Amino acid sequence: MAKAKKKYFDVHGPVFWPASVLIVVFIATTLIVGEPMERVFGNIQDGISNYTGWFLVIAVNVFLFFCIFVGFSKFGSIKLGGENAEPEFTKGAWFAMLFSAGMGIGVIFWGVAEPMYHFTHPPIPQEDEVLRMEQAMNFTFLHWGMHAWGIYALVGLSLAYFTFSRKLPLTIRSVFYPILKEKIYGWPGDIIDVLAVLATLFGLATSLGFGVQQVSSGLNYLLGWPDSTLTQILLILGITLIATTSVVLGINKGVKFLSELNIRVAGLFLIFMLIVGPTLFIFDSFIQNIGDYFQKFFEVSFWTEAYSRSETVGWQNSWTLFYWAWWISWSPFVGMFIARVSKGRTVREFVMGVLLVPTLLTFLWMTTFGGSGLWVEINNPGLISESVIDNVSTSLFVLLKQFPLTTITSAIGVVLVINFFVTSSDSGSLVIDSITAGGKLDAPVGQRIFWALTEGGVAAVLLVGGGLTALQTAAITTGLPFTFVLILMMYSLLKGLQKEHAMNIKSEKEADVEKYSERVKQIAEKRKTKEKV
Amino acid sequence: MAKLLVFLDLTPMDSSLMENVKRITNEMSIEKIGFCHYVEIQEVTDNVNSYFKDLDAPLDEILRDEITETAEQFGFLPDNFEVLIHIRGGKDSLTDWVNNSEYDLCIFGKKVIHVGTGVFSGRLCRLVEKPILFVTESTLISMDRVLVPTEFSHYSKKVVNLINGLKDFKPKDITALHVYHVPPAYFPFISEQSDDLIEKAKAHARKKMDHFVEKSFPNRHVQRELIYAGENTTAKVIFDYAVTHHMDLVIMGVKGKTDDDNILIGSVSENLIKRDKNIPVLLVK
Repeated sequence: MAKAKKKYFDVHGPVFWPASVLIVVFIATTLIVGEPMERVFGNIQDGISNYTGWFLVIAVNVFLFFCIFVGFSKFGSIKLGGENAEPEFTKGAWFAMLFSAGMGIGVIFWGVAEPMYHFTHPPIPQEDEVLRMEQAMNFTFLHWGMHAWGIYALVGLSLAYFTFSRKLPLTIRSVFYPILKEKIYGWPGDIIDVLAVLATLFGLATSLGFGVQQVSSGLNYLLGWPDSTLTQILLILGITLIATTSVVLGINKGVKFLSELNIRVAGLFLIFMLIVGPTLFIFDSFIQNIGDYFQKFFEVSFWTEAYSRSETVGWQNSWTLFYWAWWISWSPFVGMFIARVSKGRTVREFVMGVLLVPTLLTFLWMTTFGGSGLWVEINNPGLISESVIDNVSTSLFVLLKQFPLTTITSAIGVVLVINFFVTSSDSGSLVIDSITAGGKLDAPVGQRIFWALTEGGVAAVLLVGGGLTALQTAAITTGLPFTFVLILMMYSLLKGLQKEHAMNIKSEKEADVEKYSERVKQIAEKRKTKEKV
Repeated sequence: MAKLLVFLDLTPMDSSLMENVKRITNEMSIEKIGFCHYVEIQEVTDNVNSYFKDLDAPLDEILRDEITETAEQFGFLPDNFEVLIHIRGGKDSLTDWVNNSEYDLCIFGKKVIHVGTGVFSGRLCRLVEKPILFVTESTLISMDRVLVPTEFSHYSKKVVNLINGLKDFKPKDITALHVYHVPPAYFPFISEQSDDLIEKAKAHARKKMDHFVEKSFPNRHVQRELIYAGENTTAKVIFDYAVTHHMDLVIMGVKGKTDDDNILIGSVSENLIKRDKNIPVLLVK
């Protein structure tokens, strides 16, 4: 990695400026147009989902199967970073980091709300309550399961391979080296990076938007503050300032401490819920949900609402398609993280680890919180479902209310989300900063502040311009173009791995060398005696 | 006028390799010969010379003298050949050097591909971008009867260019061979009308073959062969044909139509350069 030279600003102009200008234009338009933007966002989301929904569904499946193929093919034994690379982290630490990549604002926000929503509005019409619960968990697992991690694995594997094995800069354009060769440093590379920046920024803003909605309803519940857009924007302002301050003060260690704390607190939160919640029910349903997941794997992951009744059509737009686009849009973010910690792993380890470890954890989380929600709902019909329909972000707090120590756990929930917000914002700006600075990892602090503020700004503007719909539209609109980048990425990665494989063909090297030395010694002996004669 | 680069591994097989090269120089006029040896221990040590104790001269000098002496025994004139000892930098630097050198044809012995220094030549023959002739150490090469297996891909064009481009290379007979398959897409129907389909595929192949031969070798007679692969692999059909028809040399592209990544060797070519296939093969890259 090149060292940053300038003190405050050191950007790669052709990426930084187009990306910044596009974002500023977006913010300005939304603010000037105001209220009607909500309709605009809604129309864009519908348009994209209606026309390209089938494409996203098949693309995401292809990404997953591609990763599985690469992991189990002859390329599986290729080591990221070359034959002699040693893993930087022990397997335990690596698993822990993959776990943490799977944790975020999203699982806290949707953990209770999503299964509940599917339960009350079943995507595939179903009268029976029991089957509706099964279906609700099944779709939740689909959205948070291996497909999501297939996308991240693709991006992460490509980045890790081209950065560690080929020694290219850690930025998305490097992945296209086999296709573009030196042109990755020219305008085609710039376009790819601009797309990556926009996708990451909007994906992250979506996540932050969810987070702040949840904090707002949590504070409303705890302290009675009004749960309004104004509160949310003030919260974004406040939390973004905390995040940027931590960056400015150079307390990278602080951020590291916060994110480790986060994982521990989230873990405790999970264990708490496991214990005070319907423990046996959670374990039972966890096992059953996993079975269901694999049993219906193809059915639901290839499901496109093709034969649905007209009154339920459109469900997929706001759920499955939104998730696929959201995951794609922030795949550069997660991809860079998992690439960064995976040096020295083989391709097979990488694929297995990334596909299974975070997925299983997320499943457990979703079963614990979502399942408990369903369990409460079955015993007290309407208790949680009404709040979900009323305001998605309150569902966690309504659930916590049913169990002991409500105030404490709710407060922990709020703090957890704020904390995730700070760490995501910080690491998100690090990723975007690295892309806009041409792959440098130590770009000046000024830029990171700029990006942290922009993320907050975009999240705030999206909330003003239409709340949840706007957040979802942002993810979908930037996710779609990036899907094409990912398709090219598969081809490029395959090319790269093929080359690596050709370079690595080897047999029992040491035995060969020994035999060889023997021959050379004989020749040397022979010549010695000859010269004497 | 060709410049040959011959890869030696210091095993007793080197002499049969030299014998074969000698025969080639008798058939074609060769401008220059390079005898190249790659010192394998450079991969396990930085200082090759201190790896062996009590050498009374630098290792590369010893090896150079030995190879020069052998070459002279085979009647190569000192002015016509050079000896190249590659002693540091690893395979990458050797590959780079070969690809940028003036030599236009590399020669490997087939035995060395999977035994002995298999690591080295197995990998090198994938990364070298020049045509490579694989000779067998147990037979003597001749270039009268040449078999050209083709899939009519752009690699076949390269093969043709090579055959027509070498000035002194005048094989007596050229046979173009195409092994055709019935496309697997017909699979569910194949049992009912297989003969029909094979006929159809054959007619199609004949058309392509006629076109290929007329365009590639306009002024000479070329034997045309079409063989239905059936259950056999393409490589086996080619090898069986070559042996039963007493072919001296197989010339083929590094791969057929299936994949364009030029680093890898296609499965058919890979199979034919294996040592159990006792026939010389010239791979065109």
